[in-house]
Amino acid sequence: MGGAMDISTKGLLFAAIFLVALLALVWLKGGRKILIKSTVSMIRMTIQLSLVGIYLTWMFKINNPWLNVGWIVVMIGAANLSILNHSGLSKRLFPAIFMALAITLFVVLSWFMVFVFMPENPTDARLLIPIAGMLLGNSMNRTIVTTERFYSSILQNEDTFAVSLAMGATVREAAMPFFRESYRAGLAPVLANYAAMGLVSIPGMMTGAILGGSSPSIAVKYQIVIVVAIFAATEIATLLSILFILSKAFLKNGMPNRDMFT
Amino acid sequence: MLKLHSLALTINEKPLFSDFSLSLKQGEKAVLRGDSGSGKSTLFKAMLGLLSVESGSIIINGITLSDDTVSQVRQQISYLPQAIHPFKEESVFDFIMRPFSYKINRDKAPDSDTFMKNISGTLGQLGVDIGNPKEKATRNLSGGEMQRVALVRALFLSRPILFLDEATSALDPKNIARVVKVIAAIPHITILAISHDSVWEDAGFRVIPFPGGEI
Repeated sequence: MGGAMDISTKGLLFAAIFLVALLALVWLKGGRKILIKSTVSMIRMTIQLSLVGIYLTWMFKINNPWLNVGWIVVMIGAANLSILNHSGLSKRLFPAIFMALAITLFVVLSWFMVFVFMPENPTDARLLIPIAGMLLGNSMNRTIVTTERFYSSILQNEDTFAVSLAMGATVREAAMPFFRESYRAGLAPVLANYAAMGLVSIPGMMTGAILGGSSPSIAVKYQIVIVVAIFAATEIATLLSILFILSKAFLKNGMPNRDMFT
Repeated sequence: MLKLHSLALTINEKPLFSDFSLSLKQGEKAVLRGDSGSGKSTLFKAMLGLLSVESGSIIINGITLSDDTVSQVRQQISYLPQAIHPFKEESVFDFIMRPFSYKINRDKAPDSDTFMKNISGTLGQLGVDIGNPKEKATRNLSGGEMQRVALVRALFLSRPILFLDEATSALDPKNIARVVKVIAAIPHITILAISHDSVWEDAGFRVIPFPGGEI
């Protein structure tokens, strides 16, 4: 791969001008609250990515396997907190979600590093960190959507859930119809996105690889493999998260433990 | 068969009832009668181990209800709740068969063809003609039809105790009489119903005032 085309300071300035114009439009149409939210999220994103840029440059230079794995553990912790915050689950479920994400990343990353990408050094930061980030980001979003929908539908239909228990269902059996519905609902937009890939959207990773000097055929190969890895990671993470939480978020009599939901 | 001793229940720190006792023999049929909101449905949930009682004991078919015995206790009871919510796209047949997909009931699962005939036959006795239960979607049933389909499901579980919570509330008087007559004629099963309708006592059900202290 050749070096990526750099963006000049002037180019960044023009991007900022465009953003300010856009925020003005947001303010006019959406009001002050949405303007503040949009501005804060844009500034936050810029600061976070700038810091990551500095940090990753340093990590790529050192390229220590323990440091790389340590960074992935930090990423899992951050994704975990985000899942708990956005899905309305108690912080007491941190270990269960952490376990689900850690197993997912270990299985998917090991498989793709050892058998698919086959780099000389499987813990190479340049490959390991960005791929782990992509897998984790997608797993996080999917887990939030599915777990939130799963538990809120059980709480909203507590009587139906209770009747299943009364008829002899275990927690897992009583929860299965709710899981299926939330799983389907979470999967539908993902499949629609995959179906439109290449026709409607050119995926970000592929665009990045082409801009970085890769030939489109190599970029496409990477993109296909990454989509498969993301699909595997999101499905495993979702299934494991719900499986692990099932044993923690329900009382001995099978009813949902409301202390586990915020 | 069913013994409640000095039961007290509190929901959201509000006492619902206290010192409630009750005893039903095998095959006995009774109807609980009390004001709306007095906790009759909640009592059913407590007897099914879905709620914890504050004090007192619940003994079902010789088993004292606790966290460790809740599964055994539930195997003694068929329960028809007041509100029935089938899952989306569930056919009448799938709705009735759902409990038989649970591991604990799997050995009782009847073969499909005989079962189809039994479903149609029992629904006919209850005054419901829905055609093919595999093709009829539960979402297309009226409230009264749904109640009777749910009753068939509770009966087919063949458990020694049957709890009926306002099982005929969506039916017209003629069908209430028909359904209660069918239920009253079921031998051996201990039945505890909740209803304000006098047709139950006319059919021989013992009336239990709730909350009414020692019975």
